[in-house]
Amino acid sequence: MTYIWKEWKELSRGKGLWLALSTAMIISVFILWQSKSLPSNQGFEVYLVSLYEMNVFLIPLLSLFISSFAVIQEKEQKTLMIILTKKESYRSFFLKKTIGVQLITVLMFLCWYFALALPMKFVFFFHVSSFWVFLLTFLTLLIIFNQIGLFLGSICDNRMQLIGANILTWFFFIFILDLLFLYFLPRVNEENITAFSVVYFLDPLHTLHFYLETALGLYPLDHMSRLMKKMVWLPPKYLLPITLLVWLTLSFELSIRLRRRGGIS
Amino acid sequence: MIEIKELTQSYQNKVVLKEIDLIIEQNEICALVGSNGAGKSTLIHSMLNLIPVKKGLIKLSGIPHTKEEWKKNVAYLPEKFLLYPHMTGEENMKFFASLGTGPTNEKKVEEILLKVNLWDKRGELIKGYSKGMLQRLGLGIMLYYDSPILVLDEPTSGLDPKGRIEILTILKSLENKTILFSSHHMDEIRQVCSHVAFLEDGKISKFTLNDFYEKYIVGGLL
Repeated sequence: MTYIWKEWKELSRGKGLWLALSTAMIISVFILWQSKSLPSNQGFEVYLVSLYEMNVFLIPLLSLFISSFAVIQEKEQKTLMIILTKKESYRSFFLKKTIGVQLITVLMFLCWYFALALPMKFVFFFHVSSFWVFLLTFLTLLIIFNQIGLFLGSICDNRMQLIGANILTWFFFIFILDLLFLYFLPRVNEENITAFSVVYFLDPLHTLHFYLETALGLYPLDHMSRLMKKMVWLPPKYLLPITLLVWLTLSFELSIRLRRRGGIS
Repeated sequence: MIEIKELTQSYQNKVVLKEIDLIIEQNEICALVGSNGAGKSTLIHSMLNLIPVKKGLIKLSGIPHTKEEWKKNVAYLPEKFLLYPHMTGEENMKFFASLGTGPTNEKKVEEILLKVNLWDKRGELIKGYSKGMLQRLGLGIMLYYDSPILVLDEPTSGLDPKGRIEILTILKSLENKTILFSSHHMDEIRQVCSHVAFLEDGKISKFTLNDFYEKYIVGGLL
């Protein structure tokens, strides 16, 4: 609880979180304004997908920066050294830090989207289930990239390294990874498609997008080809928590094992 | 009491500490002296398990530093620390107090803030604190833990004469503490310490304050 309180004070009095939140707010309102011309019965789902697609570019970068800087600051301000010489181990410190950063960012964005739900109700036919699906997808995106950011903060020694690592990671997930999949796509056949699918759905952006579109009913899974059935070997509602769990566990464990001491000699 | 036996430590393939032995008796105030890069911080970080020890044995109050129990007996103040700039002095104090054993003692927090002369500034964000105020707050956090061993890495570094006097006054007022304190300033070592551990070429030698002064300062070796 003390860590959550401390993290709240540090994040809420700094500029990073507010900058991220206001960027998300401006984009949401802008897209809502643009979506007013959509038919009101189906426009809501289209709006949610548009909002998510815009967030895919923005949220990973913002959450990488917020969470990774939260860790590197502990190193640079030498608070980590004091903490580690008291009752905490690096694992327990990192776990509490993770809970604090995740909880605060998730709650802040949750509050914003609940507030945004009100104007949504005036513009569209508001479908509660679709809204929950959007929230679940968005929060998963936020949590995964927060955790990757915490990992980067843990393995970097200083701010300059970290800025480079954040931009590279964002670029990797948004562009390079898709190029890699496109490169391997011609080699995919009926024999190896399930193996390809495992790797494909480990990319959180693929899983989240797929989950959102299928759960909103925009991409039905009723009449799939044999090849497609092998590709979607598990329903998206299971792929989502698996991807989340894999990234959380992997990032957390690697953060502990590969941590750099921030120039301590 | 601090016991170090045959500690060897290297950094980036360079041996920094070569099988050093050092004993700091209970309630002794010992300065750790050496030129920049001599390995003072490496020695302190090894002692506190902040970096893995490749070879050697370290005991703090009789407890090997590899066991977590040593943490109850030691408080450490790093060099050039900043704490949490978006929190007030009191909030910083309370957060670090929560890392000690038992629940946070509000009365003790108040007493410490008065002792380090920060009571009036307790509600201000510490990003507005001067270097001296920040250093006093750090010292206050250490004092809160009431640990028998205090380890301070250049606590007066970068302070103006007034700030240095304030820190030294607090250190001199402490009783029943074993203190290891790294410094470059002979004048403050003479005011506070009874012994000096001198680190040179990876080896350490311990002297009484007078012996060190005669050999290195009067003798012109330093």
